[in-house]
Amino acid sequence: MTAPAGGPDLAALAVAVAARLREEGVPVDLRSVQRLTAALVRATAGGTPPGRRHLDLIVRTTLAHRREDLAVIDRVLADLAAGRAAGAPHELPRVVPNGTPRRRPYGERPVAVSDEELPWATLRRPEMQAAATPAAPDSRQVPLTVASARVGAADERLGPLDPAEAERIGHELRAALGDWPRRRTRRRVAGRRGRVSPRRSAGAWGRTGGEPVQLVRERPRRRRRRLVVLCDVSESMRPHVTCLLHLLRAAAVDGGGETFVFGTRVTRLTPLLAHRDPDEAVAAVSASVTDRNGGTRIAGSVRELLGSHQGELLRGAVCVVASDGWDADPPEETGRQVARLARRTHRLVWLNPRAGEPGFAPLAGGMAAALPFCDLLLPAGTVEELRDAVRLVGRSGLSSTGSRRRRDGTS
Amino acid sequence: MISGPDDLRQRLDAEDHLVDDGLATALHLALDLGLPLLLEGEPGVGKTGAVLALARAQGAELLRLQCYEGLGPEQALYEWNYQRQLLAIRLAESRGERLTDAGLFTEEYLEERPLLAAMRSSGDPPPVLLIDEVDRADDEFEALLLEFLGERSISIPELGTVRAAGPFVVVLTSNRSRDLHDALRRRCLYHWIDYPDPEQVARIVRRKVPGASTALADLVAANVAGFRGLDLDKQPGLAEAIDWTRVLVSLGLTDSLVDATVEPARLESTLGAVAKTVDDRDTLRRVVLDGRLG
Repeated sequence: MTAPAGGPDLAALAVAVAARLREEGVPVDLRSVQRLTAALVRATAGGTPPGRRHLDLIVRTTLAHRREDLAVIDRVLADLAAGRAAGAPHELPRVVPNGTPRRRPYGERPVAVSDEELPWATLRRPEMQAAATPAAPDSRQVPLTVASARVGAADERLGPLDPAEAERIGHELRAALGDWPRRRTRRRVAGRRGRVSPRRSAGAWGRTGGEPVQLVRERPRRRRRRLVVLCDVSESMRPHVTCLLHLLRAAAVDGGGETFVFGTRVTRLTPLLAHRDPDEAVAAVSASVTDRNGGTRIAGSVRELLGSHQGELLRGAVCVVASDGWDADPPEETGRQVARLARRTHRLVWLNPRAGEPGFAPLAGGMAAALPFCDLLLPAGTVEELRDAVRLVGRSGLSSTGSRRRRDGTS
Repeated sequence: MISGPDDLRQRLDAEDHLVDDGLATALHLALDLGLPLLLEGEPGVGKTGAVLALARAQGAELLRLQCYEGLGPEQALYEWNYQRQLLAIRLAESRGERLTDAGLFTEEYLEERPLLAAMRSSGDPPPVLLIDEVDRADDEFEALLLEFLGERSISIPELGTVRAAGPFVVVLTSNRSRDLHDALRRRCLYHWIDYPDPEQVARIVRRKVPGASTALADLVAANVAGFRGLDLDKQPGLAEAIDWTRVLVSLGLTDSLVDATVEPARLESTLGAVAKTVDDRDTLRRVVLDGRLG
């Protein structure tokens, strides 16, 4: 009984609101409609009809599932109150809120440049620090890790790929992701070494009539670190994006990670790329990314990512940025934002498609500014390089679970 | 018996916890309909505080489960007391008896954790169960919650299905550090707590810091709202506003700050209550030294 004597049919009202919200893209299920009806019945039970504000709050609480739903619900309720019809054009909620640069510019912050090292050196790896003495000229070596010097068909520069080739590359990248940096968790699993587990031991003694025959030990379980990939989709990266898309998909499907592309803004692709069918995933991505082949704003994009709630996913993650470093933002701002990115992640790896070319020097503004905060700069201009880069990240010293070395003083 | 959102708001007010219409309605619906409530919002907007105040306002028992990565059923649901079970086996053997599984896996050896404690509680008023920062737990834990939140039951292999003995209130909080599964969201009422507006912050600050004058509370609230417009790593929330006010009162800077005669160097030393990273401290320091406060 949802229609008080002389009152409206509250169930019909709830169903109508739900139907209207579904038209607007808010997934309202039957359980939520039942909740709304129950709440409306209780709110009107005293005989005093609730006010408009109270009704709106009831609808928001019972039908919303996430923050993005609230704006749509408010708009629909306003439309219903004003008697407007459905179908009015509106902007669909975005996957990642557009980070309009409403904040005040931060100001000058010098990028790390010292006399002791080249201004475009990445963080030094421990073996490099051990090998090079500060006084020796060799210490000014560039810690650029070239993943592969092999030549062959796979070493050709990337361009448009045919479907079979793209599928093969995707498969290879997913296989390469199998060996990835791990970290210890709070969960423990039975093992030969480690501390004695009273719980597991007691369970084992139950099978021997309570005799403590066997001591079961346990060790921390290790999980693969989350992989977060940011891919530049600006015009200068156009030849490489097709292949990098497979890296993104490998991260989304098999890496349990998060994937984003950026040009002038950041777009989150994880839910789209996780689709089983690669063709449908790529089609969905193509429709969703509207700023590809436009300009590049590395600083603005990284700031937008760090400010969004997905920015929390970067904590403890291995972050891979795929970009040639051509950037429209001021280099000092890019350096500052990449430093923030590096502090929030466990490791920051930069894949530059141009890094494998003879005579390459990372002189592009964004690249030079970002390099001091990267753990590795790897070439990724060919299929071979990309695959080896992924393998190298997994197998190199990056797989250490220890705490990160302190970055230089500017970070 | 709480008659409505306004009544609940007044009761929370009496507990020195000020809430707006939206949160009062959400909490009241969770009580009235007996449904779990998911509270989301940025860190420091008062999600956990609201639940603690709700329990106090009702005089209800608070059961709290702090979530973390690796949280499993042993910490959330129940655990068997293996030591006591072994002792019982030995005791039975010494008497020439033999204990069976049915004799070992009983209530006597069951150690309840917050979720099971809430299920078995039949207290009046009903207990409030806080599942705090559920986004920090693993996906598997979310799946564990589905039966609990949907059917108010827990399956224990040795005992069977335990159903709720009486009503209880469940509130989950999340900082959105990762996306929660839709199946979990669908089982909950939802409310997003936004940063309160400066007027509300000033009211809360006056309530929480007795030594704060109206002018100081207004000034702090306005400035904290202004700080959120800066490029900060960690946006200051309500907690930071309260802490900053406490620091200012403690250092005796109240009058000089209101009269704009405070020395920037003295004010700068208080920014640690608001800025939580070195970069943020530098940003706020420049604002203070530029005299753009207020």
